[in-house]
Amino acid sequence: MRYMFKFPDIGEGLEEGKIIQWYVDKGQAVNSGDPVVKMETDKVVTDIPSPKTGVIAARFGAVGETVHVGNVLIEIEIEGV
Amino acid sequence: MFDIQSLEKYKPIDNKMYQVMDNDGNVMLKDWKTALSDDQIVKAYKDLLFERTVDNMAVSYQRQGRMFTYPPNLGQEAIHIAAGQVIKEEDWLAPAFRELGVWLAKGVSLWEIFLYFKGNEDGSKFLKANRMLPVSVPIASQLVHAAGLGFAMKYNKEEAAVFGFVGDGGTSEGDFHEALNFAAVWDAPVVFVVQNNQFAISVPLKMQTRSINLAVKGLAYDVSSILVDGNDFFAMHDVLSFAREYVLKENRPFLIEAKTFRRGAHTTSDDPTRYRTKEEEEAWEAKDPALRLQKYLVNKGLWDPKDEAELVAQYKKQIDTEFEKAESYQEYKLDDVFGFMYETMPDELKRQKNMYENFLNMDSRFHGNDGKMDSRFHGNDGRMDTHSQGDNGISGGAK
Amino acid sequence: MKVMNIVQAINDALDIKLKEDRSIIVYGEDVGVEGGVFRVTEDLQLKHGAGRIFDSPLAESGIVGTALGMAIAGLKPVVEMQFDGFVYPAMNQIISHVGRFRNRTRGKFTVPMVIRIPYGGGINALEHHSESPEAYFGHTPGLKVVIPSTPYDAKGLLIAAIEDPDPVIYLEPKRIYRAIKQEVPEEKYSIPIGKAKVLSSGEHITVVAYGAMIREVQKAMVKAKEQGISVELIDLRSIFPVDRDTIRQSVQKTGRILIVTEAAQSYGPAAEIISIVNEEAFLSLEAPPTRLTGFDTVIPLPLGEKHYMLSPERIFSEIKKVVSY
Repeated sequence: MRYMFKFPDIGEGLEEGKIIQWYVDKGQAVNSGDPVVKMETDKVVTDIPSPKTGVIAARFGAVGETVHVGNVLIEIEIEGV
Repeated sequence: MFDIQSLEKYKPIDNKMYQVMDNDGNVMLKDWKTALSDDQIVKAYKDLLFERTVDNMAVSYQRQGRMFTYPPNLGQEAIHIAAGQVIKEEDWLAPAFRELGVWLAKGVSLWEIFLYFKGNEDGSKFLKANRMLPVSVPIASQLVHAAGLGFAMKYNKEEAAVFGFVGDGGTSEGDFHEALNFAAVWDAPVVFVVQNNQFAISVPLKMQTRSINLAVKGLAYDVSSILVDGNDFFAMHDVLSFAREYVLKENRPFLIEAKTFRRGAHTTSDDPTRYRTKEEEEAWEAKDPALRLQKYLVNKGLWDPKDEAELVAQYKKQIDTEFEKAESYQEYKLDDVFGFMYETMPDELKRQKNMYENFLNMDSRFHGNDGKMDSRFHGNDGRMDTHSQGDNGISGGAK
Repeated sequence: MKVMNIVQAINDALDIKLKEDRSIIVYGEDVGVEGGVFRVTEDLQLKHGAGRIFDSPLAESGIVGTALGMAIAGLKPVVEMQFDGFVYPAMNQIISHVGRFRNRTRGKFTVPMVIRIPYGGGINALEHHSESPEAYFGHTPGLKVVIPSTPYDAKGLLIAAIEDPDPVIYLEPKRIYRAIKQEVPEEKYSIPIGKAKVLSSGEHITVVAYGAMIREVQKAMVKAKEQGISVELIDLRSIFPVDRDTIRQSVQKTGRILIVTEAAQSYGPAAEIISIVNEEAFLSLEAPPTRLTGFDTVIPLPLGEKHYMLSPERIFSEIKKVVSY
């Protein structure tokens, strides 16, 4: 089953964030809680962890690109379902 | 042994701080003994690890968008675990918002805490915890509640203490002073615990007050007080146990300043790199409460650090389960928006609720799923659709 | 039955409740030994003891906040703010906590407390002693707000307020503390909160007022009667919840309404009543619903106060305007 992880509003009313660094690649296995990307926002620069355990099926956005809150960051293939 | 004579030895006006262990977990005080058994101390350390693990995962959940703004407890756990061991079921707890370990000890379920920070007031129902007030956002306002609770305990002739928590920033608020004053005038059994973590969001202590420390402020109200190393579990336990006994026996409030450091951010919306240095953070890392207690236990042969990874992994599973409970909690009911403002809902609130319910039940052309407006009337991002965005299938839309 | 003024009626209500309910605690500045600067709590400490009715430190936020703590623990505090202008330091506790505690704990903790506040102008007082802050409380979710205009209502409403499971702001129109004497039952009785009272039945216009304004409207009504204008006077009594039914029924009968309040105009209680009239009885209106209020100024010191306080002449003039529309 594909899980689409959208960039959340992590700072009370943020509209967007900039990708600073990717920690994962397509095809890589991730555990829930592992950092997947470093984002810069108006309030904080922070790592965003994966909400699910699985394999990265797709990654959206290049380093330096601005991502809107609500846009998909990664697609995770979740085992079993 | 911390007793009434200790108050003379560690006078806040002399800026003397009570401390038992050094940074390496060695007991510095001569002839010091603890009432705690080895098992109890090991349990305290495990509880500390548990609080820290919950805390780290909470921040992670927030970053995943599964929880909203959360105030981390990192670095202050010794205070919480010690307080958790001292506070009895009949005692009242008036928290600020950064006392996770104390809430858990008082009987709050972890899923309730997650539910609250996920944005549901039901998280403050505290189904299994008695005499615990919910988190208090208006800074220091809970301290006057604590003073009132203290009065009530005396009035009802109950042998119960009140613990009111606040941060260093909160000691500048009027309610801090009013609370100490009321509690003193009323001879109320209140233990005021100031967690001095050195920062009020970005404002450092030296900009908060000219007092030499925060404990000394008790002097103005004739409230006995002590400055204690908040990262020293044994010192905190000594002082808190003493304080509880003192307020009940002497019928007087007591003020504790627990000196610590907020190793994390103020909340998940805060970025400490904007106002403090790595050096400062690293200096306090060396004084970390978990580290010191661990070293003490290791020195005594009571703990093997190799056991920690497995323990923490176990905790993580436990915590995930609790979080899932919060995530699968029933949907926020419309009834609950209105239902708890008064014991009996006034007609006016019934009227407003009915009006809104009528709107929700209206013709489905005005409603898609989840009560969100039908996309024919809205483009993406909820902006009003224009005729030229024909893709949404607006009836009669000219292209 | 006993003849009482408003001060005595309030004192009587407190006395009765203190006697029957040990969980009631009365405190505030000067309320104990002295019996209050208006003597409202006179002799209560002698009768019920300093353990239950006493003088608190001078700190309004602390008075209200400690009362909240007591209420959570199961007591019933009835606290006093010495003057209207002194309640402002307590607004954080009132708005942030008193009105919210039941809601945010889903009813686990409730706040059965009363805050008594002498309010209003017309007594040649110092600055900050003549405020009409009722709109702030009416606008705060979780509170009930009542204002008596007679000794009978004062006693009944206070008993109701003390017995209410929710927090009640009880505003006392100090201008008429001693101006009205009335036969009041000596036994316990209460008046339901949220009910207005039609004081006089009339045909041509509804006038809504409360507190000290009732007397001024009644004076204007004498002049109105001379000119053949029949006024239906409603004493609102309850700022929140508002008695919509009584207002609606009256406007349906008269078609015209004037709201008279001492409070400042903008965003005040009169505006709220006009909105209610629009919602409840628009089609019955034969004239725009009208308000007569204080100015959007600070109430002047005594030498200028006469310009601010609504006189029977001004009230009558406004009644005539609305009736002639």
